[in-house]
Amino acid sequence: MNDLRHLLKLDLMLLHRNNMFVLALVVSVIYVGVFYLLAPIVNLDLLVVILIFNDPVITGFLFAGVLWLFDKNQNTLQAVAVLPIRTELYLWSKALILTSLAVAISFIMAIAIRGLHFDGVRLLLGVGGATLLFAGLGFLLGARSLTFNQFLMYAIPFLVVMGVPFLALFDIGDMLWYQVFPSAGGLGLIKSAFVPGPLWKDGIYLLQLLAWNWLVWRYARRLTLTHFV
Amino acid sequence: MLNVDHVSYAYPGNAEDTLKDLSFGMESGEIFGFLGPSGSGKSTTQKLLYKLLPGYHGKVELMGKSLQDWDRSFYRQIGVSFELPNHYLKLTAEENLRFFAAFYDVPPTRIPELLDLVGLLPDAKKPVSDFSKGMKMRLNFVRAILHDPAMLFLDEPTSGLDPINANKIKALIRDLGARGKSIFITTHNMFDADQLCDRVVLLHEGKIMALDTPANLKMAYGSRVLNLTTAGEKGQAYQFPLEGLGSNEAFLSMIREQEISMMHSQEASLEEVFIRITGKELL
Repeated sequence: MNDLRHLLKLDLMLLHRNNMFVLALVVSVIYVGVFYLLAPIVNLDLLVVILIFNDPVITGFLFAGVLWLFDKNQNTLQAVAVLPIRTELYLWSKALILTSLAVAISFIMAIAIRGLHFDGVRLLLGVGGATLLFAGLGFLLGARSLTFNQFLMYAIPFLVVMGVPFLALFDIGDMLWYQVFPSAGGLGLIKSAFVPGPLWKDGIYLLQLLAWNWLVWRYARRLTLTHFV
Repeated sequence: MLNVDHVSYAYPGNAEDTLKDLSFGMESGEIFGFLGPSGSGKSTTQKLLYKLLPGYHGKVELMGKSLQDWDRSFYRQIGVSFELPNHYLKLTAEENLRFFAAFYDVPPTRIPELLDLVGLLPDAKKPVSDFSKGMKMRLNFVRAILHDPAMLFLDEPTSGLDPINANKIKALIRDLGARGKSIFITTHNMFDADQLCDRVVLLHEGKIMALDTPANLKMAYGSRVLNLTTAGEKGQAYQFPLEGLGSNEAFLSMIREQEISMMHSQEASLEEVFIRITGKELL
């Protein structure tokens, strides 16, 4: 527990020194601005779900990838590999920080847009689970990339594929059809936070999110640990 | 302290072994050099010894315990200084060390003491991104000894350092050896190895070609000669083998009949020994 505390402290410092907190806040302010700009012309429930879902994607996926690339470029993974700690804690620490950040910002955005008219538990599970998942995916792509440009080259088609379940928000099929996509579970739960649906569907979204997290983190852990050498 | 017995290792996907049947031992307080050109297997050996490369054949024991039986507490016993700098560039030197120190029982006074030892105390509050390569390498060294480990692995410890700081680091290494720390150095710098190491291994293409003290290796493989220069405007240089010098008539008549301006013995360098053994230059 002490080891994790030291790692969390390091990650907070690194996020701060790399201006990632400011960046996350600026992105959220832009999202809220976009919401009020588009509010008169689009379906508000739809818009709030799309904007809030983008947040864990950016915070989890991009930030995780960038942090991993910083570590790679600074050769710091080698130094961590010879510490008397379980090396996977190093990944968990970053994922926990990014998830907490995404959850906090999502709640700020939700309150700014909808006041207190949303389901906090579903939002927490949706954003938290999705950020954790996307952080794992960010580490995976970060581990396979040598530069930030290469990371972006992988990330763009990847994010397009992750965006497919958005079709369900526009009534092109039911969200349940899209559960094969890792993003669908989190998206379903975030939608339920603003537009409540049947409980059993939320159960399926949650199970999907857990299953994808288990799969991605299992693979991310194995792949990233080889990069410590 | 360390015992390596018939160890071979092949990287996954490689048909050929990178390390071939290595056997050697290290005593407590010994400074042990692992020398060879780039690609000879030095860094692979180090990584294997500090448990980053599983899947090797043979036996490795550290402090009487098989490497495979050690858990993560192994890393409390060893310190590693890597060949390249590895620090969080946005953090200061002090913050970097404080982060790593947090995982050991390091007294708070140790960080400034160690920074002072390598001449980095005035730069303790500067971000590492502002450091030169030499400063980052000195910080690497400090991090390796931060928790006062029993065994040190140093990869090219003087790489990127100016002569003054290289000497400072070498003096610290000698001091650590004198205090009973076992130090495993990998380098292609034969001069440093000669100055620092009690014994050295000459490694070539993953194989141990020779293992002995630098003096014995130079004696066994080098040719010892005496260089002599005569005085005057037309002073000439001569070279005589040290062996049988007392009965070498040419040498004896020269010191009898000519004024000598300079005379000194010359030993073979470790580099020459390496070339003689392997037929390859050190690159």
